[in-house]
Amino acid sequence: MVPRRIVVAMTSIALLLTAMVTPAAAAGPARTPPPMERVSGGERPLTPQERALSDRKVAAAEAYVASVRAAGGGLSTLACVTPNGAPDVDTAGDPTTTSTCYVPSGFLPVQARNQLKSTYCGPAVGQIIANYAWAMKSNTNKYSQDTIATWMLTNQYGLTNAPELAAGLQKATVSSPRFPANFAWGALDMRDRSGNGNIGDELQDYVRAAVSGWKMPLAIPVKPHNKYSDFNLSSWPNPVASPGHWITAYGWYSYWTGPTLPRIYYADSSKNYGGGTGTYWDRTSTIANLIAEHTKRIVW
Amino acid sequence: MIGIRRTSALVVCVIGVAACTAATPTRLVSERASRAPTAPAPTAPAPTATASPAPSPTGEFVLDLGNELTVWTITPEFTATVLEHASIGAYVLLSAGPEEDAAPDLWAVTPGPSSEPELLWRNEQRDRSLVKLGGDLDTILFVDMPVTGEVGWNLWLIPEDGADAILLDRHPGGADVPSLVPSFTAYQPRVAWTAFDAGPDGPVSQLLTATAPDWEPQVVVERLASEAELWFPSVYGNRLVYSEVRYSADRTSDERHAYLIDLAVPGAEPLRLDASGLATMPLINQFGIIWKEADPGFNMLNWGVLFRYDPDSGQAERIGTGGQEYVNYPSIGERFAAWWGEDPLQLEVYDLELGRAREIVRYPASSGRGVVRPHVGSGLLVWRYHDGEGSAPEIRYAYLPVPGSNRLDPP
Repeated sequence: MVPRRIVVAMTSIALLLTAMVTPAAAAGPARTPPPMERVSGGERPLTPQERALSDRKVAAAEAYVASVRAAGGGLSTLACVTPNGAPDVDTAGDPTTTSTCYVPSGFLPVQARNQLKSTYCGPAVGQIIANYAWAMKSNTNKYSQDTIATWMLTNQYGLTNAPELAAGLQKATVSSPRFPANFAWGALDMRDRSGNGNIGDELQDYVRAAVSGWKMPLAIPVKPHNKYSDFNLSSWPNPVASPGHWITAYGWYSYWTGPTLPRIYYADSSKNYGGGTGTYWDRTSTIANLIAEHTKRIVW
Repeated sequence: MIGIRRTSALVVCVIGVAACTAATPTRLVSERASRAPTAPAPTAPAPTATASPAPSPTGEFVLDLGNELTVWTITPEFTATVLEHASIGAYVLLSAGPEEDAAPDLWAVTPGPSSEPELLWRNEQRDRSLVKLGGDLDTILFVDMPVTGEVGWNLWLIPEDGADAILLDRHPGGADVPSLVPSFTAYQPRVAWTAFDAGPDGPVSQLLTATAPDWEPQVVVERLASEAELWFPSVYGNRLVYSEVRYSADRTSDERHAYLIDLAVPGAEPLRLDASGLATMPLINQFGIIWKEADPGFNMLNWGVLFRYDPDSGQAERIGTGGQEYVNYPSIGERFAAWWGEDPLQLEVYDLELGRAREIVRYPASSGRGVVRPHVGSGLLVWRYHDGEGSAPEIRYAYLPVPGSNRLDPP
């Protein structure tokens, strides 16, 4: 029998997806960014349409998390801090939320890819997510990184900004078999909405909503191992003067209970460009700090 | 509370002064066995261990081994500019520099109450950073690379106190040769490292050694980089352990093994130590061999758990890491192993002589304080401490008990 809280959560997801987003064509990110003032991290501010989309997604994510909590799911992590087995990763392509483990978690089946140029971390994330959305075999790609780079304006700018990465992901995944109904990719300016002094709890909730609710990975921009920072991605053991780096978040472990237990699972593409290629996990609090050291944005 | 001793640092006067590029620490005696540094005299009695630790007035729990240690700190006025740190037993090594984005210079702190950071090596190329430091006693290895994103690292060796730096290896150039930073190890009078180089059939991954006094690089093992990679050497006497990662044909998966080779036997075949295919970052000292295993499916750089090899049975068993469920980047000294802990609220080490984890300190989650990137070399443990209040992190260090002793010997 399916546990009650999962039934409630699944029902909530369906309702929330319907209510969350307007059609992609109407709400999609700007195709060509106009010259605008730069914000922290060097990116332009989000347009009113982009902000409206991110507000709706935040509301949907918070509603999803609240629905799980209402179903009693929010207490599990406190009851048990040790998993009773390996995380439940569904390699057949149907993502799951683990319900039998004492520590709740959720994962999507993604395959890491090497980025082909130093500036192609964004297109590599796009390739990983497109391959997932199109349910590609582990050794095949739906689109080349060059194609995705064109959609993300990567070669034009010499890097990939969040709004353009969202636009590229929209093109790379729309109409795919795993593209959720009424879904649209968008950038989000992370804020400490709970007022607890950090964005770790918000980040964990958003990853949970995306992975277990919408069943889509997220694209996360970070400073991977900044000079003088106490934090770094496990995939970047040595400090670098990086302008920033994109990773693909595909899983989560534990509800937010503070900085100690919750984790985010991610794929990195940066072998030969300062980091490593493969799948990793780090504490959510660590990744939240790395986001805060960079643009304070995510794409989901 | 752990006793904290603060060293002063008159560093402003020497930064950027060419005359300060020479190494100036006190020269140690020549025989390695007698070079093991002794602990500086603690200025206060070590606190007595308690069965049920209570938080100190500053909110930290001093545990087990922590009660035997005197902890020293390098002044934050200096550590605010520090990029990397490492312990080599005789010194705490630091990379730092006045540049905004680079840390091009090598500094050393001789443990003790009056020690000041000393400039050991000034990098003439100010747009490079020293991204990896290590060594053994006064034999120092470090890697510098550009901060501009260009490909190209240099591996430097300072053989002993007062000696000039030797360029031991460098990236050969060419976009097809992986630019990954070498991993290295030292145990006097030998060093070993892994690096990528150009080969006749494509890039190769090499395990190399060099020995005093000529320090001529010798290739010990070589693999086509398209098939396998060699990483994380650790040497003790003539015994060298390392990790080999062998990829599947489509490179979507790999097996990684720990190997032991006897450098005293020419042409000796490496002995595979693990049966799991997950072993990486092996380390060796007089008490044995340990390595890290990440969970299946994750990159070798990911968090993992530690195993210890039993040479009698040929089997490996998981060892405890105190309060840390997962660890990364283990390091080893004469007796203890240290690691980066998943939980920065705790600091602990593994005592290979006693065969158990030894806790040092734990901070309350609410304090925001913590420990990051501990590293041990010989008998000296070093780590970064942050106070949770946004201050520049401190570099802290402490001597650990020597083999055969459960408390620091009095001076």
